[in-house]
Amino acid sequence: MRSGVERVEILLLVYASLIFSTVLILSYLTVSRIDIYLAAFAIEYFVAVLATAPYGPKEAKRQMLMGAVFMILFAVVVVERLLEILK
Amino acid sequence: MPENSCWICRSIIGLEDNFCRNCGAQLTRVPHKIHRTVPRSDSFLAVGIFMTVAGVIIGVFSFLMNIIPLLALGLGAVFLGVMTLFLPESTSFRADRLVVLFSLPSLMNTESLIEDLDVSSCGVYIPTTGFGVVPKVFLPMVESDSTEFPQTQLTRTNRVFVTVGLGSRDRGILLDPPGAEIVTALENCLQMDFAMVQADDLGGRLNFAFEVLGIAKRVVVRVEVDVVNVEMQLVSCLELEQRLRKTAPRVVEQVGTPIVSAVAAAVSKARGRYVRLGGSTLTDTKLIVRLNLLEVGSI
Repeated sequence: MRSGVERVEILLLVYASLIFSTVLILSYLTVSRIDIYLAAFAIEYFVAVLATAPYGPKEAKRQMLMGAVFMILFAVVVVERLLEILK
Repeated sequence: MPENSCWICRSIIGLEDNFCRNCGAQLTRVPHKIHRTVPRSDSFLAVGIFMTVAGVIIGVFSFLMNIIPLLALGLGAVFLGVMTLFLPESTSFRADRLVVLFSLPSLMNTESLIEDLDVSSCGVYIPTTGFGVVPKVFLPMVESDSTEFPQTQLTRTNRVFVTVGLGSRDRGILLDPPGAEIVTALENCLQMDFAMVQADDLGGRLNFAFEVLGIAKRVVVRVEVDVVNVEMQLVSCLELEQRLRKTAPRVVEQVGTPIVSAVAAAVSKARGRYVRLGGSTLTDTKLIVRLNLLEVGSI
């Protein structure tokens, strides 16, 4: 059974690989908007957390806080994009 | 154990040897990864700071030069750095829960036994020697000279209700400490009988073994005249320690939780003395155990 520390390490590794692969893929596709990258990073955070769950109560609480930050970031990106479309 | 010498005769050994060429003892090689020069939490801190700073520098420069993919890479590095700093060095949720599920019922039985027999005295750890032999804990029904220093031969018996003196009241219950298996695991890890550990070396040995087993870290042993204080940061079994303090106060005070009793048993063996639990406190993850050394055991 993996210990909690290893679990956190795996989460960081998974998230790092997702981030770097996203940057590679999106830059290959010549995406030049930073909000698309940020939205992808936010979604990938939740994917990484779910892929490496479950966590203890302490970690879960901190992850929820970080999740809230990413959620706000994602919401800001979406709202900005919506406003852009509606203009 | 020094890396290139036998743990028994201290003679020089070759890197490929499995047995000592001098005394024939089997050599147990400890994996190098457990010899951490930097504690894990410190390495997390260093990596986190590095990632954050590197991310900020990359981000700022790429923003000024308007290179979006590099800016995204910088932001990603900042996210990773913040996560590394923010996520704690933690215990295993499942393992901790399983420890509680398996251990709590038997410890609750001990609690009920102590309560039913109306035993109010603290347990006395009887010193013993031998690799894998664990001191037993004796709970006297009534305090007397006989019950304060029960015979060391009692460690060989499997009886629970024992008489230790001539008087009809010199009775008590003899238990295997809740941390008996931990003591055995510690000795297996050290490849050493605790009775052979020097008094000054006990702290280092306990720290090493507890860290290797993933139970605790930063174990510090402070020896005063007849009192031994042991401090440690718990890495696992935290939930069990907390639950026991709420549900089985007699076990905690009179016998000790699994980790506390393991420490008491190890100290009893190492010092060759009767040990009585003076108390234990758990603050967040810091466990402090106070042990009273009673008398030199006649072993």
